[in-house]
Amino acid sequence: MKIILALFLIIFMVVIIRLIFVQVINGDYYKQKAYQQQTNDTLISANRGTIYDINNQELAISASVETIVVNPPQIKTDEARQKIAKYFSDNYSLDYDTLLATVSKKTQSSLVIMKKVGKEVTDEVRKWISEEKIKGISFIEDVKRYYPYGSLASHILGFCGTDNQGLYGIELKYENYLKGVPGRVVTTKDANSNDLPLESERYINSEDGNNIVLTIDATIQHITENYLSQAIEEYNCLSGGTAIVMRPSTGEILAMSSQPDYNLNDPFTPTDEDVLKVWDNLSTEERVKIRNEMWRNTVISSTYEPGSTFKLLTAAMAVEEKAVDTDKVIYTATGVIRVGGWPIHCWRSYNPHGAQTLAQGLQNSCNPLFVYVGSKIGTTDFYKYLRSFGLMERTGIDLPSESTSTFWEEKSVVPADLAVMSFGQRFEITPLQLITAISALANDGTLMKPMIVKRITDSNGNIVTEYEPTEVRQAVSKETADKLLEYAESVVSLGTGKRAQIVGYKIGGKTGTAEQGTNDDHYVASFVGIAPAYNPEFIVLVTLKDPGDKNNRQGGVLGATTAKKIMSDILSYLEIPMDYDIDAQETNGIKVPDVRTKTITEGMKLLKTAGFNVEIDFDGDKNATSISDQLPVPGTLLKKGSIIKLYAADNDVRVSVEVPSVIGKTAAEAEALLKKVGLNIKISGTGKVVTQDPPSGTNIEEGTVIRVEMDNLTELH
Amino acid sequence: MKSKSSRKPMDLPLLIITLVLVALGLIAVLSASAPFALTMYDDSYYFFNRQFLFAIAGVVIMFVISLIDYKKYKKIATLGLIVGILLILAVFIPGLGVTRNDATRWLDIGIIKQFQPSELTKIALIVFLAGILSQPKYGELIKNRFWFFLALLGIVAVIGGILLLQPHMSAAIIIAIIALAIMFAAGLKVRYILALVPVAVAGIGALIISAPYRLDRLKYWLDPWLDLQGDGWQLAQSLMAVGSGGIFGSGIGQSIQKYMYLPEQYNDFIFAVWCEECGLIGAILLIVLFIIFIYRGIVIASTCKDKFGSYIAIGITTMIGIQALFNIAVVTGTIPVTGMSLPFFSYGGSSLLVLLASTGILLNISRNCERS
Repeated sequence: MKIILALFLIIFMVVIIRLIFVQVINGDYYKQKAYQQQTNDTLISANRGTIYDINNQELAISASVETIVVNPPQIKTDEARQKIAKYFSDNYSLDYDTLLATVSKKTQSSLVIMKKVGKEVTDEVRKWISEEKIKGISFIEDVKRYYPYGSLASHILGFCGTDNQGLYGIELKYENYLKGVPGRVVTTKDANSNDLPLESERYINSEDGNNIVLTIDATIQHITENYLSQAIEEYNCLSGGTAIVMRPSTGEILAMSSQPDYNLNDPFTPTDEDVLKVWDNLSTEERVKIRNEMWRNTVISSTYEPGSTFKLLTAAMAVEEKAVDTDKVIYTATGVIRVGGWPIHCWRSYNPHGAQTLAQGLQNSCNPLFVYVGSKIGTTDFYKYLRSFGLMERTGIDLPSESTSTFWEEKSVVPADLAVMSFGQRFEITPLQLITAISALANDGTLMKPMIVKRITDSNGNIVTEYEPTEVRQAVSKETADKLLEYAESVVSLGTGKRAQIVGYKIGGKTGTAEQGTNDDHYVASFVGIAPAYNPEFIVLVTLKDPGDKNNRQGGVLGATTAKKIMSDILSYLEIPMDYDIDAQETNGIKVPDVRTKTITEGMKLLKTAGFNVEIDFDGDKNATSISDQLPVPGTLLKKGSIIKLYAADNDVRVSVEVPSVIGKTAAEAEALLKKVGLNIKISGTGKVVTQDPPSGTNIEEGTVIRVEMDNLTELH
Repeated sequence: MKSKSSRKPMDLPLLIITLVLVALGLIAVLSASAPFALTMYDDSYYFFNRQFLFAIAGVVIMFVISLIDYKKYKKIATLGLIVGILLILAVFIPGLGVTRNDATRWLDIGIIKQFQPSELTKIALIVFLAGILSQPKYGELIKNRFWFFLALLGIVAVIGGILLLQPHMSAAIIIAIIALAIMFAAGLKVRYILALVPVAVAGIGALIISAPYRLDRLKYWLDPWLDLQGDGWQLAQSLMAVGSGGIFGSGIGQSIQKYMYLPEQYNDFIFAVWCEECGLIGAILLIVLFIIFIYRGIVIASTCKDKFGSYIAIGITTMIGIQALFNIAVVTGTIPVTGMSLPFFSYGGSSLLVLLASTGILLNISRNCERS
């Protein structure tokens, strides 16, 4: 019997040793395993930072939403499962069978039913749950990215994926700043995923993401996008276009647009209606390709042959190196120049430009002259300046996916290569690289690094990082740069860039009509504008790709017209002082005085003295004595006898009229037509009307100024 | 010898240990069953209250039985065994038997919905074997005749066979061990037992082939995480509970594993909850209590001059000791999972009654037996 006792003792000792192993030696291992299954580690998403424009307008914000999840183990009966599936399929058009399958996964918890839904939906669901005493449905706080302006600056901002991680643009580049640090709630649960009431929860607070303030000005961005997309539609540009507005003194980008763009609030749906029609029949690869194309920021990610806009840089090299005389005739054009046996024709070989100075060569955009200039600079210096102007490297802008240029190897360049490069062909750069290089000419020759992020602030608005403008290098001397501004101004005042003239300002610029590649019939019509030319506040580069009309694809017409509209609106938006007094220049304009703070009697007297006709709209309150508004706005230049509309105080009603068509009319005819319906006119040039803005058929307020452009613009100066 | 004055007092250490085990068992049932009771019956004390009543009844029965002279059982030993066998057969009667988890081991006898008759059969077999082997004639045969050993084993095999049909392998194993222990105490030679080893191996092999789930049990015993959601669940959860306890435990009532992670958390796996809440210290304390219980039982058996009493004592002690050992070994993963409750701890009224009644017999033997 002692043996039986001994056997018991021995086996119990074995069990105790086993206990020591499980509880002490491997205790932490099992404890860890147990902890993993016993705790619910819920992430509290951090608020993603806001993206602002330079004036603190919100461009990308995070809205609070909730994700509805189901915990199948908490639902005990098939009836309850069917009820849940039916409710969501009936009310939110979800698939019943899929839902039922989800709700029936008894071994899983926290399965998503509806992702990121707003308060309207969650309130409804909550009400239903409490009324019907539904178990197993819970809500997880979440955030959804929202872009108040839809497609505005879409290629700059980029967008986020469903898990709120940035996929493109600033959202991607500044992901680490924007996303913040998610917090956690650790709760203890039983095997059926019910929270245990006795255990204390552990909280780790989330840290909200930082905000990004861009150098972009939403108003300028809007102006730029508007005119760019208008031009693309009007000129039927098959491959879209780009526009950039840069402040040369700092390298700040005020606007950057690549068209066509897309809706940031619905980035996966193609914007092209023709594509949308066949979308459902496309393969995944085709869809991916179309989306990638749509999301591509061509300003920085695509290269093109700049063509004649590049001549400004060739000229700058020549001036800096004193390769040619700057104030004498340097070349007599005959319409064709032979380089290494190959003939290179001027765009106007049918009517050769003849004897020209360097400035005149720019004004005429004469290719043979630049071939000559290029040969004078020589390959070595030419490449030296390509590097100085930053064309051989990425600009380093704070956006993802920046491309860089393609040039021939310097060693392999033969005279014929240098010849075509001199007028901007047979190499490719990004639009951003070109505008950055030309900005150096408007910044005393100093090349700046383009910047798009002004500062980073934390969730309390404190500045985390303030970005300062970065000088890259002195590309050319101040003297050379100033000289080039003079030349650029003469291109607009006297040369091919006349359509970019803006009354009251001296504008610099250069046109470009560039072949793309050698085989295909692809063209880019472009214009780079400097405003104002001698005190550059900003530079605009517009590129229009593959304009539809082969007879009308000159950068001097398409590019300059578009750039002019952009520059004109920005100049007045930024309240840039005029270069010269218009009254002296303009024979047919009187400045409209400001009468908005005056009484009606005073205002009428003032306006009549100035030579205007006055119309007053009382609408109801006939006894009103003060003026609430006037149209056109003060400062507008109008012909004598134009109509000024005054609105009496407390009158919100505006009278609108339909704009008649004045295309093809003479100035007098057009003025009469418009005056009849109470509209004013502003005429540029002489001859017959070719364009009018706003176009006919538009409904606008009485008194609005209709801008018309005549077919002969050169007569302005 | 039967005069009142000749009665000695009962074995006090055994009584105290038993009462301590019952008291600790009640605490353990309350803690382990509360979450499940709250979910199922909206009353944390549901299982505790029932167990408490059975404990009171059981202790009363224990005292009553401790007053009944164990020698009276000798006359009804054979009848008892027949009734015991009939009882385990009764579970196959439709309407009377209760089937749970594919096993038909219980009887529905009105007040007790799940009465496990094999508990009584064990006692019946103990008394029967003690009765036979205490007769000098058979006492000699067991020492010298292998065929007699086999004959007794045949009776055990019949009972074991019926239990396997239920199926209830753990009960069959316990019965075999109890029988061997009594025969061993009666002088059975070790080599007779060893001669059976090949038969046992063949038998185990046959059992595994006849029911492949037993092989899976072996596989998931070695690595329960192989099938955490399925067959490995029980042992994995048990190990996590035991391991979480560490040296000092998380404190009585503080187990998290009892919240539906552990299966049978107030029954077969109540020791896991105990380990989680009381740690290694509590686990060893409990094991020491059981060892003292076994020690006292064997002291009673070995000091009892009357062989009938001695064999009953060794049978009952082995029965309780081996169940405790098996249960603790299963919970700690020392042996593969098999359904075995922890004496005095696991929830279950009929089991507690039978255990306390058996202890009552043991106490009576300590009181009535002439000591050597």
